[in-house]
Formats: sequence, structure tokens, C-alpha cells
Amino acid sequence: MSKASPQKTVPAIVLHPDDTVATLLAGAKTGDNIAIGSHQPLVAKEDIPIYFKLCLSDQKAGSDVIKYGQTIGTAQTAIRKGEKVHIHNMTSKRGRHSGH
Amino acid sequence: MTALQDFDGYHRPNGLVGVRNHVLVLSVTGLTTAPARQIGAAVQGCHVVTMPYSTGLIGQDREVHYRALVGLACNPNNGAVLLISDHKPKAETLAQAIKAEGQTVQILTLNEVEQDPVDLVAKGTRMAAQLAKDLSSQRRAPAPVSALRVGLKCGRSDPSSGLIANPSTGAFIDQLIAQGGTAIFGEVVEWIGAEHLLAARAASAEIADRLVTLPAGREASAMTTGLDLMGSNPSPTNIAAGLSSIEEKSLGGISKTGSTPIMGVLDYAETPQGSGLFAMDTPNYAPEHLTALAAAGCQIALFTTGAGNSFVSGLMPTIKICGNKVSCQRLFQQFDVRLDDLIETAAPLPTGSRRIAEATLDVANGQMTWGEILKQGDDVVSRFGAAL
Repeated sequence: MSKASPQKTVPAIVLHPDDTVATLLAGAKTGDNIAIGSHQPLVAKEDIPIYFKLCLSDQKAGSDVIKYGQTIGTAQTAIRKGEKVHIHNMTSKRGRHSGH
Repeated sequence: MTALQDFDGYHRPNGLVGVRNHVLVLSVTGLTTAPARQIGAAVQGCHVVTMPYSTGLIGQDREVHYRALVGLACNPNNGAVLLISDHKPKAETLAQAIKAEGQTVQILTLNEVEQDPVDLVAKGTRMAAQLAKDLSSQRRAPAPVSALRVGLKCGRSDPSSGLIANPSTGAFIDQLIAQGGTAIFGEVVEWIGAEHLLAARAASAEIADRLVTLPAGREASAMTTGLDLMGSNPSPTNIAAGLSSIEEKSLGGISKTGSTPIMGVLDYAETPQGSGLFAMDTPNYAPEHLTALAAAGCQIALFTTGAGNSFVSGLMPTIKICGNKVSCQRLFQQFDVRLDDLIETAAPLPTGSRRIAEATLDVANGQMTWGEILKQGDDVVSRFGAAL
């Protein structure tokens, strides 16, 4: 039913072995394959702009979001593999995020 | 990695080396801003710094203002200073401090022209013209790369800053410091979430303590005003570009400092003693931060940006570095170093670091930055409280 454009492969980068997110090096559409070096390939579950983060494996609400091998915030909801990770579903531990 | 080469700079009597040879027209009161600008516009080779504040500063502002004015005057990129003020005694006190640092300085005040700003412009133009003539006979001569003091700045950051522009800058800074050079970073709020990594590199326990307490203090003052740091930092531009939290921004940001020990934490506009990497207590805002670095004697600023930040220092040639492919297409001329082709390559950092090193030495040797070509550049000293 949807007029899906042909799938493409979008490069992404993971900066540290402990990371729970990858950074996209090009914009992805839903269903695009995400290629991350030697990491297991995965599929984007939604549209994600260039340089935004993508979740590498299913995460529970309250879990740490890790990039550079360091905690950059907390998952506010469960986040599935292939979904976008940004301010709609993660919050800073230090910025005292009071909603947006 | 090949060693960084010598550069040709202007050797000052106090042993410092400039990469530019400005006549600095320094107006130290808001009353003389317009005449100072008119003098600077009339005479080739001038750079004008004007201060809107003067009389009535108290406490920390009084101390910082004085230190910053002396520091800006003594930046080695200035060959001479024409100090313009209202009252002669005040100008003389400042000029003595500038002279004590080995800088050539002349004074012109409204007192000497019977408060007539038109006469001030006429007299000042003659004085600045003679200084420019004198400076134009000076020649560049070889100087070691250890004579460089480089200021670091991020602006309009995005995830490409932390992926390529900042770590490439950090790799160059490591090399500069290994060869005896100096670098200064600041922007205290952007240490939040990465303080533990900075503190682990501190050269002493006291330095480690300040690297942790300074951001905590700024965070606490934001909280007492009801300011949600998430609303101001990351900024809306940062968030629109993909940065989600201050921690994420900070972790990317500190990678421009490289990996060497942090030798000290400087107050705003304070000159470092010795060489190596220093932190400085500065706000993030580009004009205030870059001015503090110029007052601390940095000759060049390395300014990494994702979306593109248009501000440059007037006293320090400011090298804009970008790794965002969209920004590089949009603003292609305006980045002095482009790294957007490197992110997906196998060994991006050594190549990025080499490009930054080449650009830094080219600019040190006299090549103009985009900001200089467009005559951009301004200087503004931070304020901390009310005046009398």
C-alpha cells in the first residue's frame, strides 16, 4: 500500500564498543539498511536525519544511553533497535530536563 | 608523524611572536567609541577594539575589565597600541601596565583636545598613521612552533563536531604541545558530563578540583534562576542538528583538547604561565570566550563548527573547521579547513589533524582566514554584575 522507495544502505558509525547508539552518516528512510562497519547490520524502523542517533539494540525505559563509551542520558521510554534516539525519548541526567 | 615546521612571525621585544602586525586602536571608554572607529577606518593596518564600559565598574568586573584591556593590548599580534580614553590619569595607569609588558603604547584623551571628538579623530589619525608607518618596516623572521599559543572554540556544534572536527583538532593540539606549544580551552558549561575525564588529566589535585567545581557552580547558578540547561544547552541549533544532551555535546567538545595533561585553570582573560594545555573559566558565547583567549595572548583560534558559526575574533585569525557535509556545501568558502570528506574513511583523524596543522602554519605565516578577508571580527569583555 505504501509507495516505499527502494531500500538503500546508509552508513553509520559506532564510536565505542559499549555504545548503545550509532550515528548516521546520511539520512535514512524507514526500511533502509544501516551499515555500521563490522557491527551486525540492522534496519531503520523510522526516518532518521543525517548525524542523528539510532538505537543498536532494544532498550528498556530508564536504561543509560551510551555514546563515546560514556552515559549521555537516560531512555525515557523503551526504545527498539533501529529507532531514532533523540530528545523525544531520552533525557539528560545533568541538564535537569523539565519537559519540552 | 612529521614534526611541525617553524613559521615566520613578528618578534616582539618581550620575546613573544605575533602572526599579525596590527596597530591596535584601543578605546577604553564608551565615550570614544565613534572616534576610535573613525581613526581605524582612516588608517591602513589598524584593528579597533572598543569597550562600551568604563567608569563605575566594581568588584570582579573592575578586575576583569582591567586585566582584559591590558591583555588585549599586549596580544603579540599587535605591534603598537594607540590608547584612547576620556581622562588622562586613567589612560596613563593603563598605559603603564601595558608598557610594563613590553608593548609600545601611545595615549590620546578627550582632555587633550578640549573634549572635541572631531579633533580627537584628526589627532588620532596622525598618531595611528605614524605607528602604521613604523610597523610596516618590520619584517617576519623564523620562529619555532613552540611560540604558538592557540585558543580553542566550538560553535553551532552538531554530531559531526564530535565525530571529526574536534578529535582532529585534539590530535593536532597533542602534536603542538609535544613540540612545546600552548593551547587554551574554556566554555565551562560544556565540561558538564565530561568533568571526570578532564579531571583525570589534571596535573594536580587542585586543578582537578577546579575542573569539577567550576561547571558545578555554573550549573547551580542556572538552577537558581530557574533556567533549564536543557533549554539553553544544547542550544536549539544543536538539538535540530542531532545533539540530544549536554553530556553528548560535552563529550564531543572536549575531544578538541587532545589528551595531554591540563597544566592549570585560568581566570577569565588570564595569561598562562608556562606551556602546555590550559583550561579557562569562560562563558560559551563566542564573542566573550574568544575575547578572553585573545586577552590571554593566543595568536590564533581554532574554531570547530557543525552548522556554521559566523563569529571570529578581531585580534586572533580564527580558523573555521567543519566536518558536516551539508554545511560544507552550503558555506563552502567560509570554512578554512573542510573535513567533510573524511568521516567515512579508514583513518580520518591523522588526515584531519594534518590539514589543521597545515592551515594553522599557513595562517601563522600570513595567509588570511575567511573572517579576515571579509573584515569580520569583534571583541567584547564579559560582564558579571551591575555598575555604579
